[in-house]
Amino acid sequence: MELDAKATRALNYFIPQMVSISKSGMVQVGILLVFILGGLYALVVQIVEGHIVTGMRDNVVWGLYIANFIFFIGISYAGALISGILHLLRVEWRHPIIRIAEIITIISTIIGPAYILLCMGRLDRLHHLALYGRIQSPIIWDVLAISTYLIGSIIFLYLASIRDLAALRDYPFKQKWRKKLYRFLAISFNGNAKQNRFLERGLTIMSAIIIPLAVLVHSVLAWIFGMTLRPGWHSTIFAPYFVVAAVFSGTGVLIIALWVFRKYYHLESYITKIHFNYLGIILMILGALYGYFTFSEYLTSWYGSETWDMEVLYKLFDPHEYWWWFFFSAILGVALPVLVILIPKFRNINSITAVSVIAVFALWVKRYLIIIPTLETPLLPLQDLRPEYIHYTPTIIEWLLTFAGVALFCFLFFLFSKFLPIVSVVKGEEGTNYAELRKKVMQRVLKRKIKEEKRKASQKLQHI
Amino acid sequence: MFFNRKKKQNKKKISPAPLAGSAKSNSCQQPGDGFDQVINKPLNRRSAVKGLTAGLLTGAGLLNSACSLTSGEAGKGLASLKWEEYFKGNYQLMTPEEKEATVKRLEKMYELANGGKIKISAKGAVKDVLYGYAFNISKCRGYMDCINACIEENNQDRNSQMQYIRIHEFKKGQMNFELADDNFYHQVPAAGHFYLGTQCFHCENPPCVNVCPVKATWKEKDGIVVIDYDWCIGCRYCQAACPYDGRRFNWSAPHVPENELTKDQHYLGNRLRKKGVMEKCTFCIQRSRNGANPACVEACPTGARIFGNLLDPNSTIRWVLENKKVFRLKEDLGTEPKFWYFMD
Repeated sequence: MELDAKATRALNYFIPQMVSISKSGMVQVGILLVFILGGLYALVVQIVEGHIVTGMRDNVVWGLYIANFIFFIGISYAGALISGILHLLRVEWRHPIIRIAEIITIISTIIGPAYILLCMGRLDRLHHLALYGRIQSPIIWDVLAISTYLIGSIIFLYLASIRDLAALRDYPFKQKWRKKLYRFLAISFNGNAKQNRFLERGLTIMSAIIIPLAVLVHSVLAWIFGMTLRPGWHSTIFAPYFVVAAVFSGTGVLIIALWVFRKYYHLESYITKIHFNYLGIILMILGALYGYFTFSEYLTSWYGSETWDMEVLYKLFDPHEYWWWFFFSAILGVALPVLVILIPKFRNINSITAVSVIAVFALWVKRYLIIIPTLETPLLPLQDLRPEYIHYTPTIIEWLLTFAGVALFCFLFFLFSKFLPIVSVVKGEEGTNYAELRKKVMQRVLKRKIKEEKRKASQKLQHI
Repeated sequence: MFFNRKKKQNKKKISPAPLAGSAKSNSCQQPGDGFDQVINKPLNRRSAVKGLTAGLLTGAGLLNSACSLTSGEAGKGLASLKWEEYFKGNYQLMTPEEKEATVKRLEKMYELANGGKIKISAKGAVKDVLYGYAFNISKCRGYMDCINACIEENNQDRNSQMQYIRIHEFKKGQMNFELADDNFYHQVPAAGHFYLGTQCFHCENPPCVNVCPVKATWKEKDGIVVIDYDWCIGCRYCQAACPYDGRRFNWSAPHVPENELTKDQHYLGNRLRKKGVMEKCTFCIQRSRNGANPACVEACPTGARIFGNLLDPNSTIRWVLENKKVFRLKEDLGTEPKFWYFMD
């Protein structure tokens, strides 16, 4: 495949980083592996001993695992948003960040559902879900939606990186397996006009499919909770609320990832202030929208003050229980990103990244606050003498597995960056040339008009 | 999507070749046991993939049991029984003969593993029976004999002190569960208090059954909401969905001392559970289906608990419903519990 000068330069910049690893990089990967091993240990303990090793009990039946599940599915929105919407809008600045966004999507869509498996009591009966699933259960909706979303995202990433794979195939690597792998994955793409046309069309179709799919995934996830008769969950606003929260956290994670890779790979010339600015503004708008949803949700249940809703609200507003977490997640974590990005004076790369970190962490806390206080407020309250039956406190096992999930996220990102350049190298030509298209359409319209005129004229002639 | 239509039809004609257990070659129409349900199916593309998965699992397991050197003659029997047990089908879809074979296998397994004998029944719902329960608030005095009887009868885990029934102690003048106490350790009845018991209400419209992703819990024809302990995947969604705290999860492997074990068991009732599955009150299905009262009703020293057939016009429960002022808990949720409260 022929490459222009810019692409060649980029390729020569990225390939040395792909095939080698620095000493500090080794240390970082080692730390990640330690965390992952810690998680594996916790998993073995949990499988042997049962879920008694977690903080969950008959009152609070779900805990950190489910919060992590929602969180990871939420950040998978980064890819859907950036690659889907920006691709459809043909936004020019999306190119350097589209790959990172898509990788975030795929990795988090793999790690998120793994937390559901950690939550399940009988992993040996997992196949019952596939063989005997009940379509009436929201869990099965989730299984269907997430697996479709994952497959769709993989196809999208593959299509979007096929040009780079072709370029890598033509690069003289020393390792044989790399040559084989890239030759297999590039499926003899050589960038001719016909292939380009098909590729662009495929990308457009996939980005149009992936957006409703992403909305569906998070709506279905919200319905797992919304369908139950529980205070704090049984709410009609839950599906759109979850979707907005997910895009918010997804954009935040994307900004953080861009900042990290910019520093790590010295990508200052690719990922510029423009990207942070634009993404920051998107984050700000989403933050405002999310804050509005939060306000609407809590105002409604507070003003109506039904007993069972109020029980949850009291817990959230009680300084001895969840007030400070609630304050952080629903007020500080929303107001700070919005205000900092709103004022142009404060808007720079580091400040945008900092507020993104706050927003992402706030959103994680928010997921925790969706699950735990509601479960601690059953319709028939419990007065057990054993405190773990009343209040949920995550155990070391759950924390180990949580950190292992985050470490695995980073580790998979690292692995990915060794197979593909983290920024797309070969820029494709835009598929649709609108000027050309308009010309064609106009010609067709003109032709039809001329035909019509002729027909009318001949009819007139017959009359005469 | 529509490719190979003809081919598929041909395949169907050639196929359902009964692979094994061919005595019941007509079992293709009826749901069979695990083997029939999963493997011995008319082949189309989808079921072929399913069968392949199950086949792979089967192979892995056979390898596993073949490689274990330690197992002697008895152990081998147990291993292969365990193997069959793992691949049995959904209890709801079994024919009566398969149900019988399944409980026989479970009895055998218990004998091989523990030496003792147990009796497991697979008795189905009796026709024209719908069980209901009534609780007399003015009679209950909080003795908690029902709870003890329930734990003994239903082989609940002793380590976690699991109990299906909760007795709430209310101060007179209000019925707020927030202010009640279900964990009292003092002399009863306490002055100025009244008592009320909750357990699984066996709703006619059970939210727990609605949300189960794998058909592991369902409402029987006689109105009892049951769980197939060997089908549950332990996701605990039912527990989150139940508004009455009617369900319990086995957070660790349940432990019942051999001498305290109730040996008269039912497949859907008090047979021994495993780690990581749900369980709940079944109106003592092993007793009620044989015409006896549940253990809690029998144990109650004050006669506050009434159990019976709602379809029998001469039953006590019908008399209560017709002659007393009854109410149900959180009726506004639309779950239609079959558990009524009344006062003298």
